[in-house]
Amino acid sequence: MPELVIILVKILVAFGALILIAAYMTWMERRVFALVQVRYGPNRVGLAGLLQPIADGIKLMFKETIIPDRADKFLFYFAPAITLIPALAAFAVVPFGDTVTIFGKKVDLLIADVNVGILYIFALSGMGVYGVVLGAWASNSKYPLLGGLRSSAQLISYELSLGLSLLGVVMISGTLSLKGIVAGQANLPYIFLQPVGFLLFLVCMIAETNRAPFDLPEAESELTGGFHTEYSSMNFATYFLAEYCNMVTFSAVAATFFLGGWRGPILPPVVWFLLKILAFMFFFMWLRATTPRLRYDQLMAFGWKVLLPLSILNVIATAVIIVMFDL
Amino acid sequence: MMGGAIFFYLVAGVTLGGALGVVVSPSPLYSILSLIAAFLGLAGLYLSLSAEFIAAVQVIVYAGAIMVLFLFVVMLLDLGRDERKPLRLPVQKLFGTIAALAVFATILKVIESDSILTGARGIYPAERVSELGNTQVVGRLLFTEYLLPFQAMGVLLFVGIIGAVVLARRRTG
Repeated sequence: MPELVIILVKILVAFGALILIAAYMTWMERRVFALVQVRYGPNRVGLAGLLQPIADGIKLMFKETIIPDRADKFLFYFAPAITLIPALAAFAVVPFGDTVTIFGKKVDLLIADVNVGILYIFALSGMGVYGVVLGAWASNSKYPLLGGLRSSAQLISYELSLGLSLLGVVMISGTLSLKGIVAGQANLPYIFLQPVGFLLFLVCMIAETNRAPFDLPEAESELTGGFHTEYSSMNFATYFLAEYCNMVTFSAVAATFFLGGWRGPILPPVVWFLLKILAFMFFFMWLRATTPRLRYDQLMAFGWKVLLPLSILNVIATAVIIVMFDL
Repeated sequence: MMGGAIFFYLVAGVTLGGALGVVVSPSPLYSILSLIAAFLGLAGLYLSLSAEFIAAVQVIVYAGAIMVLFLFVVMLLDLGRDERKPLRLPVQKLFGTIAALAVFATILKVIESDSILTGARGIYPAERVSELGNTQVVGRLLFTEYLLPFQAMGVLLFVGIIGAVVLARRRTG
């Protein structure tokens, strides 16, 4: 029974933290944006605007849910959840700290050490597409449908390179488990062994989370709001939360695969892990504030003609070096 | 063992329910969603056999990549009411029934076969696989015992890719 309690506590703490971080990222994003554009940003609610996400949440909860006429009601309600569930569940295999001893019991600071951890994350991120596509279709409206189609094409195209960009790390560490990958970086983070893989992953990660400059599915200048044009109230908030949860999860995966996960000197492991996630999140925001959006055909051409060949080349080069130098 | 049994009946239920949904749902979109549910249930069945690698690949390839393409096509076509009328295919129904009965008979035969009645185990029972690491086992088998079929599948897929490119190019001229 104590094992079950420990697992439940870990799940509650990790997911609570994930949702809280995701909510506060909306605040951080608006503040960073404001800084880049020489504005103040939200600074009225609480100290430095820190209560803004809570105020936003309460506001969204009390808004009326508007469902378009002739929408598929079941899917319209269900689709945001399909996006949010994988975004949350993917975090389960990411280790956020070393094994610690609490009350004389050894506790691994990760929810589940799945031996195919990284494939589990890919499987879930593949499921997230359905939320976007189904929400777009269920709205029965032209802008969401176009946004949904773009989104599915984009996600399929970049998923390939995303998987291949991590393969180099998997080949070096010889394991698919994220715990094993962190263990392999005790001396040297994999970013030094896989610099090309890291850059490829960074680009694909931005495309997979639908962020600028790859935010074609919700390009407001041409598609109003993209796939969530017709969404309002808590349904909209769910999509929004899912997007930020996805960003946090992908940041955590990037930190785990290339920056040594929770490893770092002096500060406690969990703090290091959060700092690394924050650094990636800041990168997301910085990029969105300073880069123009790609054109759709440029985006597809870039994915298939540049990223995919490069990531295959990276895998082959890694394999050759491993075999040649007998690593 | 209790938890294992509950998990099995749960995912088996999802698989069968999904498979039924594919056939009976009135809208092609819901058929696709049911098929995704069936694939996810199947992945759950693989999990209960401690074949985590196969389960993950099942979700990534079938439930993820392939079904997204199905969804794409159905969304683009947006079938009108006329196309949704049930088809009348007497010949196909006859052959379909025969094929289904043949599969059913085969499964019955396997259930009756010695290995299940005597409890004899194969070379790779679940315990051995989880001991060796199931990804490693699959990899080793693919590149040793099943190398030729594996290569043949590779050639088949390659031909498929080339065929797709040829078809796509012809339309644009």
